[in-house]
Amino acid sequence: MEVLSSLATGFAVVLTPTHLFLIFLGCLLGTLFGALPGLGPINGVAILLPICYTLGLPVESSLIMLAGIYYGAEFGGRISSILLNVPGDAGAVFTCLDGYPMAQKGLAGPALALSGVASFIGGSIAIVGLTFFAPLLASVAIYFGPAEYFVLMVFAFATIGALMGSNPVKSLIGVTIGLIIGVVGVDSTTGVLRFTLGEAELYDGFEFLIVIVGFFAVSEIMLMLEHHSSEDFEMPKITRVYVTMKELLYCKWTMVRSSLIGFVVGTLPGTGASIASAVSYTIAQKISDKEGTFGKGDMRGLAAPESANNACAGGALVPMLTLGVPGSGTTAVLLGALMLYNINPGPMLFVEQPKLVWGLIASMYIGNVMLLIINFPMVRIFTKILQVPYWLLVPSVIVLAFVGVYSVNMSTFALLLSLILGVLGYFLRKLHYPMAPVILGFVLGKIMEDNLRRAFAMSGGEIGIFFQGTINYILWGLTLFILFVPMLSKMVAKRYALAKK
Amino acid sequence: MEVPFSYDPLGPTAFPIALGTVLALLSVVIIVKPREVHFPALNTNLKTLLIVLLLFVYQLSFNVLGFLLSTALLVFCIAKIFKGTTPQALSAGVGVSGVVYLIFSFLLEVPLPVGSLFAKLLGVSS
Repeated sequence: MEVLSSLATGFAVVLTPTHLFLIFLGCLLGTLFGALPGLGPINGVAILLPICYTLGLPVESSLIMLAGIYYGAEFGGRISSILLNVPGDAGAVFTCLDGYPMAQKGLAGPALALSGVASFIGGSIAIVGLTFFAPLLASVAIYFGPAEYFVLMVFAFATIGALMGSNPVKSLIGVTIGLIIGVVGVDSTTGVLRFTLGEAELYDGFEFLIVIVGFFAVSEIMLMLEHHSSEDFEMPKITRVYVTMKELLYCKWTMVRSSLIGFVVGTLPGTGASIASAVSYTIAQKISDKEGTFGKGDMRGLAAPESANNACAGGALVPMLTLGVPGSGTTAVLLGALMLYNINPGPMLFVEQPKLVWGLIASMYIGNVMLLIINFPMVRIFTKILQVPYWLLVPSVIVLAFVGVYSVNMSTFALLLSLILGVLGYFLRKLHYPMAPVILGFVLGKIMEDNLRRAFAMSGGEIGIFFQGTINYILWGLTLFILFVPMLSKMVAKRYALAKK
Repeated sequence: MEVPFSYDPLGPTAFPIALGTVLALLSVVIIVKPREVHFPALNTNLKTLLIVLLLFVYQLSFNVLGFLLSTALLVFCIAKIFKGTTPQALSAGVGVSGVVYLIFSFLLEVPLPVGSLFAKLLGVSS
């Protein structure tokens, strides 16, 4: 089989001491970032990306390590959720619901162990899915022209609007803000300067690192001031850090089902771990919660979101690698990382960069096993790290982020821009605007505009080009479907409520 | 912005104008159907402002005072804001700036500014 031989090429890339070490380092740092309250996968990748870039690593090494940080952080997010009831990021909220009650019942150790296994199963199922599904999608995506690409972006933004965050209008405003930030700079087709305010440093537009460090590191620091009360928490005692066979078998179907849900949700452009874990938790509750134990420390309620958010990380890589449209906020950052290396993401990636793509996929198999192995003996060490005081954590994070940006640009103007965007991000987050759509808009903006204009150039200004061809029909159909999903689910919920009465 | 290219029927203005229109429409929706907004207590607002000011000063002083001194000062102040004691904040300042300096200038070989002020005093080029 072709897939297996490609995968073998990938393992050949990965099985070098350097790469194994980078996977290990990525997983370790990722778990750390996931475990620290307030810092999630997206901050982890955002803060470490500039450092990775300055290290001068080849692109596949950087990507392997950054991806390790990504799924490692999804792995580590459970630690502070279970022990402190503080989710590292939105994706870990549902882990708190049953994880924290378990810890309070004196089951902190089993909760950590079970969620570790659930994460591993979620991750594994997703990687297998990625291995077989991504090349398939890539072979279809080769037939995408500019018009198809543009409609694909419309589909992506419809998904973000319909599924992400509590308020679709706010998600869409976020996307638009991201797109507008992406417009700044020299127009690539005509050479016209747009919105540069005469500032020579803005001719190339907002640089990716500046934007993510601003939106994720700077605004995070400002927000941390408002809820950094975790010192008052009493750390629960950790007893046995393993699960029994009985406990595992009790959750087996929940884990498999949630992994599949997480993977599918992950492949939808722009959705991410928060939706994956929310959907899988709700479904697990509907199916399994006969005695009303969910939310009071039910093991299945812990296994469901944990397998889902790790599966989602694998799923989110599918559209990123095949279509160049990231499946989540963190993959948007990874996509930006590829662009930093002048690699054009899209369907040709599998053809032009097989070593990069298959190396990344192979590294995830290894990383996932590594995470499982390091998590059991090291869980106690990670719980110690949770006690790092904020007076040390916060300034360290900000200095690392700022120096990373400085060392790539060698200019303090970059720091100023980061700061300005950080303040903007702070207000947006204060007003409950989700940040991932902003980054998605920013990353996709240029591709979207280029394809729009190329499509119009091809058709000589005729709009009909967006409404012809099978792929366009399918994409428009999917877009309409996604837009109606919230309405449908409301209707179903109403029926359900009526039936209960 | 007049552009004489015929192969690009859309030109550089259409996309930004479309974005502006979308943003305006969405803003109208938000204004017409507002949802609750919770602002933080004033106390934290002032501290947040202070952090922004500190980062702004940091950015200005970066080249003048040099990486080590400006970073140490920044870390000291932020550590104080996050309720570290003075000895804790001092050690954080010295520790963080020192470790980051070592990592970047020796491990990553990224030159960080020595500071034009010191360069002048010592008579070396910065």
